[in-house]
Amino acid sequence: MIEVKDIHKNFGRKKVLKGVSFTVNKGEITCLIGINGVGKTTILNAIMDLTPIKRGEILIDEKQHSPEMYNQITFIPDAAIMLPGMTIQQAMDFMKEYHSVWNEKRAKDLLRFFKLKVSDKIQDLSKGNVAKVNLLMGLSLDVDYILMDEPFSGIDIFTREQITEVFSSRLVEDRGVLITTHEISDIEHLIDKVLLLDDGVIMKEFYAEAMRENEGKSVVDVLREVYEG
Amino acid sequence: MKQSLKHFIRLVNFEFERMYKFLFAVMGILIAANLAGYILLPLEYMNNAREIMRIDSLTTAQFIENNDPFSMYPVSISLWVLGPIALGIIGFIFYSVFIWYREWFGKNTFIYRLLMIPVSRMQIFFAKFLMIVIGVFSLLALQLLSLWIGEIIVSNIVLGEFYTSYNLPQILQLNYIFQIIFPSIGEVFLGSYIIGFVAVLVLFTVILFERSFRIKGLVMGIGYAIACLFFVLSPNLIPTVFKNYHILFDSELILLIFGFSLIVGMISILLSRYLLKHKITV
Repeated sequence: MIEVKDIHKNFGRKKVLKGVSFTVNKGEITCLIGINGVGKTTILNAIMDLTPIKRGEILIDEKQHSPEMYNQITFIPDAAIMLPGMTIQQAMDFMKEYHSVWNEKRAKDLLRFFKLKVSDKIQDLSKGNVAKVNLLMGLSLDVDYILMDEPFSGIDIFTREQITEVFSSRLVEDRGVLITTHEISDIEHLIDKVLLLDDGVIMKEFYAEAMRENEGKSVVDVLREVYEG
Repeated sequence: MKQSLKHFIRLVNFEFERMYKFLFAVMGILIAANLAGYILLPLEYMNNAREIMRIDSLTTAQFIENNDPFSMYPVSISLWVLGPIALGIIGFIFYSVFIWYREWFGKNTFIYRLLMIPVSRMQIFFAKFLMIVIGVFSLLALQLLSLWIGEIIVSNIVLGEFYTSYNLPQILQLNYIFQIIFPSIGEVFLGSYIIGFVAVLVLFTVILFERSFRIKGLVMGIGYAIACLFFVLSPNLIPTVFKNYHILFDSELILLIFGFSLIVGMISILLSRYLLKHKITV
């Protein structure tokens, strides 16, 4: 379980996170929703130890961050983070060299599924194909937790369908997934837990299915209630 | 431990693959410029000598009596040799900054991937540092080899009676710049390069301060660099402070400066470790 406990973060004088707490459980897809600039990516970066927090604590399976954790948790960002001159094959080789949990068979399966060519250079890829490569790099690691930042941002409908298919597949089964998005309609039916982030805190936390069954509201309905009053 | 060393070697290899174009370009310029100097300068000397002897109807002996014979000295102080050395120094100062900032400001933000490698972040730090060390010593070795070859080329262009031959150790004593970059005493060589590489460690720390705290970090980093410079040079103040100009031998003063440089190097490594582990931000 990922435990985020009362984290605070400032950018200059601006308080971005004012005591955010939540958990991400294995076998669940947790969706962190909030308007732009509210601190969603900062939370993911903090969990990955890519930015320091002012106060609070983040535990992964009850342990604090260490380099070995990057074989237990992975981050799929919304932009290319491999060197632009690398081919997809070289990017895969890079991951294989450093990550003991790299799953070559799964990487090849995903390569076929996404119809990517190993000889293509990262710098020549479209936004949609960059998203696919990022997914390939992240999902080919046998990790317990996957963090995804805006996977549907700026990509075409066919790529969205492919990514949605990945979400509903066994590739994310048994893993704890934390995803940030504002394109909620595409994956609403796949989400287990929803976290609404606003004004530096988690405004509302609920299970989507329970909300549908008990109150007859969709995730989008709840979003409207919270953000539009 | 074994796995950790394997990862480090891979990181060094990875950094080398990213640096070799720059290194080979500087090496290429060095070879081309040096060769031009080894050929053009002696040819120019011989043309001038023949011209003067023809106009003044001088014999070779008479010419040599009134003019200096040619040697590696004018070559060694020419722009053909000193230019590439200056370019190499400026190039590696620039590269020491570039080696970090390209991870944040390149076309893709590679620092994400780099920091998420399951190895200690100090391995990344030392891989980058080792690249600078490898680059500098590669250039030095090439310059030495070039001077040795240069002596052979020049001695074949200039006729024997017009030429004073020097061996490599003598060539290295010909000008002040060579005496700085190729000190003939082993301890001085070691000490000079330790100070040089400690300066690179301090520069890395300044960059990590800036990458951790942005503008505030840059101010902190510059303050740190000034403090380091003051600390390393502080033994020079001992005679003034104690109003005794014979309190230290020169060799003791140099030893103190080397010692203080090592302390600065250690502090820079520890500070960088702290920044990379706790403060760095993508």
